[in-house]
Amino acid sequence: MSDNTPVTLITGTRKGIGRHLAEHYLAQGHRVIGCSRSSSDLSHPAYHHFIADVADEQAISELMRHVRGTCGRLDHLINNAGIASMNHSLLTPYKTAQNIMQTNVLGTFLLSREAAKLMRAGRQGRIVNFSTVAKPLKLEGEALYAASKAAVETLTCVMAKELASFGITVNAVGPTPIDTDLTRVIPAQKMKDLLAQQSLKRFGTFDDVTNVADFFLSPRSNFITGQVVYLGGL
Amino acid sequence: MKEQVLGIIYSAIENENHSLAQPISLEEGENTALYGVGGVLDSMSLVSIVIDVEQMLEEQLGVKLTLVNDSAMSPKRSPFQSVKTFANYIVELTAQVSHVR
Ligand SMILES: NC(=O)c1ccc[n+]([C@@H]2O[C@H](COP(=O)([O-])OP(=O)(O)OC[C@H]3O[C@@H](n4cnc5c(N)ncnc54)[C@H](OP(=O)(O)O)[C@@H]3O)[C@@H](O)[C@H]2O)c1
Repeated sequence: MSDNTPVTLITGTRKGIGRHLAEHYLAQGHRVIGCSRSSSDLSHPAYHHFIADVADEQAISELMRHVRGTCGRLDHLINNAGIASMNHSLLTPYKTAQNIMQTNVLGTFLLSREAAKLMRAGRQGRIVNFSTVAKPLKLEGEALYAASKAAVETLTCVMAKELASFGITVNAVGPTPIDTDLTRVIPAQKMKDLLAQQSLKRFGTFDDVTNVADFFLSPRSNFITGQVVYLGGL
Repeated sequence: MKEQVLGIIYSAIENENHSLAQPISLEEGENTALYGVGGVLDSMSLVSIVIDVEQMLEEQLGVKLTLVNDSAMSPKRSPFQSVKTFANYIVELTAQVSHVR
């Protein structure tokens, strides 16, 4: 592995979008470090999986120590790990609300903070966060999830300013529904109504997300920061 | 211990000096003013120095510290006023935490 092999850290790589992103960047020749709360069956010589909860400061600290020790630097962070809970706000348990905020908001914060410390040394870096169309559409039944992603968007914009002088860009992608475990629990009629609100009325694909991530990670995108790009035409 | 901590603080300042239009002179040694009244650092430079110091403390001394808390950022009673207050603060904190290796 040559010294200029891009080093890409992706959270939530066990399944879904994160798994796809890991495979995509491995195919592009990146060295990929992934994590999730359980183990992964992704096996590739340039892939290393960590069992770590993104909201566990100690576990993330160890993960970062590993990245620093084995790669010496970090080029890209993709904060993909996220959880949702479709529920009326009056029926949402406090514990569920806490879990959503911890994973989506504090996880994104923690990883970004630690990654930026490592990226700072190279005076360049890319951070890509995950929002959702549920936030601008203000979807009923997703109060906590949408609120957590609103916080992720604000974090994206403020950190973009704070990290600019280190050459680090921070952006977010807001996917439409994509067929993963996260959306399989949504009733068919509700999903139909949701897609009807998009300009382009179809499910998103993994490739739609990868396309936006590629754009944000591109070395040519060094003048693109603090942006949230929604899929599907909102 | 204090000597090692001072060494780390000086090298963090030297690192940051590369990107400062007006580098911090270390002629006054421990009395070099850093942040707050009389200090020369802006908050971004302080951030860089603090992160460097945290990293070097971990790498060289095996101590993992979080140097910033809410009261540490108040310019009045900040431990980052001078090299000396910064070093004393670290030595004090180190005594309270466990070593990573
Ligand atoms: N699918 C969609 O339609 C859609 C739409 C808009 C936005 N998004 C966003 O896209 C991202 C990925 O969603 P997805 O559809 O791929 O979800 P998914 O299929 O449910 O996968 C979530 C991934 O994140 C990991 N994960 C969850 N909590 C974690 C934690 N605390 N620490 C570490 N890893 C954790 C999971 O692994 P473990 O269970 O092993 O931890 C899994 O690998 C999320 O941020 C989501 O909000 C998805």
